[in-house]
Amino acid sequence: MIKGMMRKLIFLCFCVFFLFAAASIFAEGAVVVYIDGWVDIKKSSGDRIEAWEGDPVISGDSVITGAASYAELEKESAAAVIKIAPDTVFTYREIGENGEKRTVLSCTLGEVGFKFSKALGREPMIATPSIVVGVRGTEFTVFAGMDGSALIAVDSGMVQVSASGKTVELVKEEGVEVKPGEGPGQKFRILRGKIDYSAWNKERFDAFIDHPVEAVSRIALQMDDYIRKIGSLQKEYDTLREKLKRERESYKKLLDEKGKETSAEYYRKNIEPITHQTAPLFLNLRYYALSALSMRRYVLGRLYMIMNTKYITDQSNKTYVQFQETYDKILQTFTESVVPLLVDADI
Amino acid sequence: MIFSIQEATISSMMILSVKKEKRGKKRLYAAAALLLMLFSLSSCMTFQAVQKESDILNLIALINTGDTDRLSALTAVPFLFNGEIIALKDDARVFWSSLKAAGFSIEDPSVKDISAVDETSYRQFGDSMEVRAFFRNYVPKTARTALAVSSNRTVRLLVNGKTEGYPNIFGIKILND
Repeated sequence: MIKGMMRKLIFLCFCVFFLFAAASIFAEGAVVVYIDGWVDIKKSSGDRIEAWEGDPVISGDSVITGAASYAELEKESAAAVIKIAPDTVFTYREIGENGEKRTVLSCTLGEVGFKFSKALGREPMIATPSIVVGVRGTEFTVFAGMDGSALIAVDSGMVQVSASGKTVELVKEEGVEVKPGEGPGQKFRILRGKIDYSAWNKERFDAFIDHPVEAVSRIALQMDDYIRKIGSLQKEYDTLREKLKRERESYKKLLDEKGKETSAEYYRKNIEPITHQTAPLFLNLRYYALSALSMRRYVLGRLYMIMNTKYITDQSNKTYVQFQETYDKILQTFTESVVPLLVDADI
Repeated sequence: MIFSIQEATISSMMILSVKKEKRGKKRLYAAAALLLMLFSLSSCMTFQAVQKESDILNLIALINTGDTDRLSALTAVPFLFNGEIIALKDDARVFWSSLKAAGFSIEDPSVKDISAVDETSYRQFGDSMEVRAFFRNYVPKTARTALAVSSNRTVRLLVNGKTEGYPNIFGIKILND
């Protein structure tokens, strides 16, 4: 039964791909234009390859830099420039919006600088595990901390930072920090180039070590947020699928009774619109599932590793036990709600 | 080894070119056999070493030294820690450093089992879709799982091949007794 579901999931992924490609609304990817040191690209197929200048980065691909490496991507002839600092996990994703694909540039961990010119046209969305950012012809940097926190610093233009149902607008030389599962904090002034990611991330690390149960509880809140979104989309998707099933049955009956011409008209009027609605819904389901997976892998997994090794000789420690309990709960909800939307290549 | 095969190939071809037909045929067969033997030997150079008990014990001894540099170099990325997939290169160093800082050791180990990985091996590390996918995506078919029991804990290792005499580490599961 599980194998059957996996095959169905993979088939649906292909359908979404071809539907959008055929409709010519498949969003263009980015290109690696500069590399320093060893940089990996984890492809959507699951392969992990060394990145080279000129390599494409398309939907589902992640660019992963090490401690001593750096990468720059460009999109649409430098209308968008993406600077990926060391120790960063950057993913190129897409989400369905009003029948079209919209690019989401995601920073799960590390530091990514963005510069968009007016020539870009519609700007992409930016995301970290805890925030979504809408931009307007801007130059800004996103920092994603090891504990799931985010910090956005704007050099020029305007960005809207949304988290947990709250939104704040930032203009030139403004910044805001967001903890996972919470709304944006107070805005503050930032001078250009004055944020040191390593120092900020070290603060996040120290805060985690001091209060690991609090930190993992915030991850739990963020995971719950992803799962709520998945749940709501899943409901909508399941309703449409049921409707599609009924319409297909009616179509089949009509085909038998009235022939090809009449049934073709029925197909065009009643089935095609539903198919066009289900595809972006599934795309969005996959988007939130993959975002949850990124947080689980690059944030929660690392916190687990740090805590488990730190307390390896003291596993009955109260703080460790509390951390482990929350971690186990997050895993349980992740397994129930997110894993069914994943395939082996995502891992 | 590469130069030996080239030399052997050139030698074989020289032999073939100067002898008469009847003796030439015999030489041809001999050269073919020689080449076949040399290629077989050369493929042995890249053949993944089958892990023995002594290899596992040597690896455990290295773990007990806390040599973070060497252990990081032996650790595949991604690697499996208990049921977690640790996906970033530098995290291997963080992992071993953290274990060393915590005073982790495996005292008086004995190796109870070394088995080839198969379709069900993933369950030894975690019965989940992610661990199963990790085995499918990242673990070579020649890998082995090894169970080591000591006075203070049980450790399961997932290893394959060797680097500088030590097994490469694809996963570790630590069970404190």
